[in-house]
Amino acid sequence: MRKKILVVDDSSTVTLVQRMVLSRHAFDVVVASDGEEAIGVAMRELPDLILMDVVMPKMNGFDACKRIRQEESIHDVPIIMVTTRGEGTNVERGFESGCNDYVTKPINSTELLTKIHACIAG
Amino acid sequence: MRHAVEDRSDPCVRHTEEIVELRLLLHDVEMRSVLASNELRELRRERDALRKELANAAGELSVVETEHAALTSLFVAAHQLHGTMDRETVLSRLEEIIVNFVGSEEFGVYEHTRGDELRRIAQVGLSDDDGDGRDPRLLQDLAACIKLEIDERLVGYIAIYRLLPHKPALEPADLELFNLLKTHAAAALLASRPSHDAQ
Repeated sequence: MRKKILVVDDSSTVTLVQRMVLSRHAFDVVVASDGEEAIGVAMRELPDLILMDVVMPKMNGFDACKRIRQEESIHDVPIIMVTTRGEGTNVERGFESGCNDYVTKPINSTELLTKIHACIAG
Repeated sequence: MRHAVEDRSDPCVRHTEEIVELRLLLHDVEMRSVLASNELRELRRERDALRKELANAAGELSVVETEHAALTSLFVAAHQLHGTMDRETVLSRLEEIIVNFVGSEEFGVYEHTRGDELRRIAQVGLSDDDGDGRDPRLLQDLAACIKLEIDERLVGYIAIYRLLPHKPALEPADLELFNLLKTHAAAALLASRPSHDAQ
């Protein structure tokens, strides 16, 4: 059965490239353009994994991650944070918010797919 | 006949026959063992060859994945730049391309005005004090400078001052993207100029 991934990013450039990469590897992709929308889409679509950007309008990735962990129906969906900075504080903040893993921009698709498979399998 | 029946009833003869049978059996086992050893050696050789083939295939797959990712980025960059005639959208997409595909949060996009001055029309991570066309940093400390031109007409530059901390250097895929931006970003900027000017 095909796994479903929710891509959360306010950049149409990023969502387009992620949709192309993930579709090619037999994932179904749904998209949200900010943290607030992501919670609604996640509750409706029940994805197998969420790929969450950090800097977004309305609600950033950290806050969206915290909110998702509080929602009964989606609290255990694996979340991979996508950040421009791989520095300790940023990564720590991501894990404190409840993310399972993180990748840094520019995204290496091989690394991303490896982490996605690890998160979904785990 | 009678003599033979008597021989078989003799324990010595029976033992001798059993020993012969056991020796034959042992020989048979030894032969099977040799065959099994040969087969095992052959299987191990095949396994090693398959492992090597698998490692090569994994390496090739990784190369194909990298190339595919680079081509996807090029396609998306061109698609995004030419998917609109709106100046603000072109500039915002250009910023997204540089942040997400190149990996920089310190760059400026400069355009030649009709008066042949250089004007900064977009920036990420630069302060307003850095100025417009007189940006003193334009010609120094650059990680990359992409000349935007089409049909030998110079439209402007993208000056990338610094890459993200975890990206130590530019990669071949970045240079391919720069080649695409050279003409496609120039074309998108030119195409979006009239609507911008009208606004």
